[in-house]
Amino acid sequence: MELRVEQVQGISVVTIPVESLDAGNTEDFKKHMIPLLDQANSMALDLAKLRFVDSSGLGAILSCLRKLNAKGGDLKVFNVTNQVRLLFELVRMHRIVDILPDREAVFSAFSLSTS
Amino acid sequence: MINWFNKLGGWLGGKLERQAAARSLSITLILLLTLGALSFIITRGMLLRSINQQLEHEATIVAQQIEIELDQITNAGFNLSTNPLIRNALVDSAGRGAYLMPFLQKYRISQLIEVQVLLVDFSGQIVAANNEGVVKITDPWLSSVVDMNKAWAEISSVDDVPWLVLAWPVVYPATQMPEGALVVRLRLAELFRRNLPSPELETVKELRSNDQAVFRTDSSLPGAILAATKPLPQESPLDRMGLELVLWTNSDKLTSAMQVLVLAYVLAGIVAIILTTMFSITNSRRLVAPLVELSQVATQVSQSGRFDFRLSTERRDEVGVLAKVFSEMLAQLSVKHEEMEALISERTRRLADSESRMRAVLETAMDGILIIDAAGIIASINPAGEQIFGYGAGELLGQNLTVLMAEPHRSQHRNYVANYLKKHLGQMSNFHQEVSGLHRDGLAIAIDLSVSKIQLGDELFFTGIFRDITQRRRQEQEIRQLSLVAQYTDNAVAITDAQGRVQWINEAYNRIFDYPSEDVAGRTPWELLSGAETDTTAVEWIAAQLAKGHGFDTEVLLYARHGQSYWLSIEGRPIANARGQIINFIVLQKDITQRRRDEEALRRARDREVAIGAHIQQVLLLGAPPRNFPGVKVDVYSFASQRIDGDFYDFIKLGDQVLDVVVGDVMGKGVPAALVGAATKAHFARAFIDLRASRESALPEPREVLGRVNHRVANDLMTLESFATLSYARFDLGAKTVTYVDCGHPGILHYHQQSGSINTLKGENMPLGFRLREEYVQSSVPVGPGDMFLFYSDGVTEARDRQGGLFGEPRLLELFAGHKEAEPSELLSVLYQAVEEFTGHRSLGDDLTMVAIKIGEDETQTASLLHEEREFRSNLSALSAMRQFVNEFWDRNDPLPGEADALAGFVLALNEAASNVIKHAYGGVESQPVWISLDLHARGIEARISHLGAAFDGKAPQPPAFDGSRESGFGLYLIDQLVDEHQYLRDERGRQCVRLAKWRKEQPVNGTTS
Repeated sequence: MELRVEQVQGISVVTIPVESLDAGNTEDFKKHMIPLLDQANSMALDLAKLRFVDSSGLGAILSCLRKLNAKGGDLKVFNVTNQVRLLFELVRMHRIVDILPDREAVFSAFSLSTS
Repeated sequence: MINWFNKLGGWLGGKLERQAAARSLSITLILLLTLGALSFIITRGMLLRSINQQLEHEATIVAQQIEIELDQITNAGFNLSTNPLIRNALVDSAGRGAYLMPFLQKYRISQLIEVQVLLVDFSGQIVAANNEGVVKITDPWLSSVVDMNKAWAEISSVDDVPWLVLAWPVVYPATQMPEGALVVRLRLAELFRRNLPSPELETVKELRSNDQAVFRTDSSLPGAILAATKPLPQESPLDRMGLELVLWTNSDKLTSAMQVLVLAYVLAGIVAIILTTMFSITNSRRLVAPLVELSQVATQVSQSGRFDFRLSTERRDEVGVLAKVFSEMLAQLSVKHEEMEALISERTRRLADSESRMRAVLETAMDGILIIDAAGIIASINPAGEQIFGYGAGELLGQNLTVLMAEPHRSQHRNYVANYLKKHLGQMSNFHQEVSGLHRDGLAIAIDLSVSKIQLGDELFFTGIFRDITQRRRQEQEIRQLSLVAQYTDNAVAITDAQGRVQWINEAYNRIFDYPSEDVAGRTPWELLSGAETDTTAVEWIAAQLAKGHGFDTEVLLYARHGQSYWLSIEGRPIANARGQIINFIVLQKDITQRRRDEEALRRARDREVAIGAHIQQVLLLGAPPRNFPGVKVDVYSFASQRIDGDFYDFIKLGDQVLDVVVGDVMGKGVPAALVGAATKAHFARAFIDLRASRESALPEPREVLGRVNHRVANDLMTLESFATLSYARFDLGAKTVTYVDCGHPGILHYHQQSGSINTLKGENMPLGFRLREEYVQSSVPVGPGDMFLFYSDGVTEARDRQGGLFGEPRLLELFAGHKEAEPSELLSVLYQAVEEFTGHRSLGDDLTMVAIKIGEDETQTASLLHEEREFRSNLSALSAMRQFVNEFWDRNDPLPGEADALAGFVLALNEAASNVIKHAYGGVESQPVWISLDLHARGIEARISHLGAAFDGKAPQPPAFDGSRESGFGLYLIDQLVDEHQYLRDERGRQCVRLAKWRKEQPVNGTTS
């Protein structure tokens, strides 16, 4: 899984390149996230392509959030498709992870929280 | 006699005394006997003479008396014959009767004895008699008396009584001629009785006439020995009779007298013998006593070897001289003897010392020592030697040495040893070699022998010193063989020290592991050979066992130098020394790689076989029940035991309103039963085709179908020695009837809602395969909405609990009655859970097959409108394909119109459930089958995820913990949130199954379970 990472205003913007995040590829995703999480403090995941995420995928995202929180950082997601938003809401994930409409909203949210 | 004297002499004294006594005694006895005999003869003669004289005297007296009597009688008789009265009477026949009788009676011839007197005429006629009774005289002498005029006398016997008869002629005076006779008769007994004097001797009197005995007073006289004879008177008429008297007497008197005499002599003899004996003994003792003493002393000297005896004799005769000389001789001998004694005892003591030392050496020597003579005969052998050959003390002495030799030497000539020794020791004085000996129990023993030659005077001896080296030889042999085994075995052998460091390895070790010996030495085998996949715990365990000094035995993967891995069975055994300290380990490493591979292959083959078997059964025997047959709800439960069984069922839709159901069981297990079941099932379809073809459009009756099926499969079943039981039922919803044929299968349970009754539908037809042509009988029952039918195989009622108890029909009926109004799926779920609970384990011993059919009122809501099933692999990467399958189905059929969001939730729920199946049911093992079936219902969608993995069920799902402390259970929680129904069950084909259903929101759902 090739994760595309951009550093914009101190925020690591990671684009998820796959349509689904399930038990079949979560391990791969986690492996690639580890170095990124080590470098970053604030991170945003671009979920534009993602159509499906299951419990293990949600779990993986959750563990990313936990790691960043541990060192005072934060994780936000944006460009979330309807299906995925539905899943997030089903498991009440939207209460823990901020779901933002787009990239701009991410930047402003981070600047708000840091200021 | 002499013995008796000897005995007596023994009691009386020594031999010489005995001889002297015996001799004087015998002379005395001879004299005594002679004198006794002479006295006896003389006395006897005198006695005889005295008796004889007495007898003579008595005879004379008796004879005189008889003589007097006879004289008197003869005179009287003669006088009477001449009496004139008598004479005249002969002719006076007229007058004589008056006087003659009284005259005769008055006339006394004898004063003492009774006498008959008769007067007879010339013809013998009795003229008169002094007593009656005598009639006539017929005696021949009468004519002689009358004719010759002479007197007659004779002794005649009348009635065995001897009579003396006397007769005189009677002369008629006128003519002077005899005209008759006067007869006088008397009993001789009377004569003797009257004339016996009182006797001094007991005698018998005998009368003799002319030397003939004519009368005897007593006929029996035993022992009569003496007789005296006297002549009796010779006057007329007795003169011609020569009468004599003989007196007999017996010897009684003489005998008793002689007895007294003999007794007197015997007494006198005994007294004489005693006196003589005493006298002669005393005498001879006195004479021979010094000689006896002399002999006793000589005997003592010779017996004791001492010379300090002296004779006490003081006599001056020859015996005294002899005794004196003997005493002097003894004194001299005594002195010489003492000198000699001292010398001998000194020498003996020295010899004994030396000998006992020598003996001690021989007796205690560990080696056997023997001495043989030149002929090979054993002269001496010590105990160690006897023991080596197994003989007892002294048994070998005198035997030829060959008895100790093994064949062929043992059977050699007895001179073999002698010749051998001569040959081998001709020049040398000794030799040393290993030979083969023969133990007494017949076993050959190895002997190390050295032989030396000894010359003792003229004689040649050989001494042999030998020891048993059998044990040593055997050990050497054993060690040689063992080392060969260790060296050349195919197993790797190492000998290590107590710490496991290698000291020696064999060839195989080199060959297998390819390390040079110097690399191996000093390191433990497992340290050297461990590699990437070596089980470190096994190696640690070996090290721990070794440290404790214990043996070990395990299997471990090790590596050769070039990297090749081997499965090895490692066996280590501690070797202890005599003090029990462990000094070495022997480590045996056996290459079991091939075995491990074979085992692995075998296990995989078995798994595959089971999987294939199960798959065959799924495909061939068990079909999918019709899900969308209007008016009928069908559910099926089937559990195949590990061994493939012959349970099968089939549903045949015949138009919109008729459904045929077949539930059967082929007797037997395994692939043959399964295949026959499959064939039977296939023949139903064919039977329909055949029957419909021949009959245009009419529907064949169940009994016809069965008849045809039986006809086709009976032969196969009979060949296989099998048969099939089945229930065949036709549900005709148009006619509202169920027509059934039962062929030996457990009955069909039928709940009739209208009447509320439960019946068992059972026929009496034979199972398939009993007969080629079978007429089947079918029955019909009416059905109505709400009726429930249950078909089941005997695996249900014959399920057994751990104690062997049967599940049984009553229990089944009770459960059926309790759930008669439930949905078929629920009824079956209750039933199989009850059976599982009863048997106490999940894998039942037998197949279970149940088919539940419920007649519905309006089936449009629950019947499956569309059924699709697809098979996937148990790979997590397959999850997206599974989702794709649902998405597409959903897109085509839109199960929940107007609920666009529901799709995402349903897909997620299915994804989670499938993920659980892969991760938990299959434990992450990939490429196993996972079936997903989707059913479109009027009120929503239903999904089943079936698999062959382990059963599992969702515990009460808990909300996710977002702190990440718990990952599991998240999926279950999601599923529960996302679907309306969520169940774990076995599907109709016995597979484990997760069932998910999502119903339309506006339509409330009854009776769902979650």
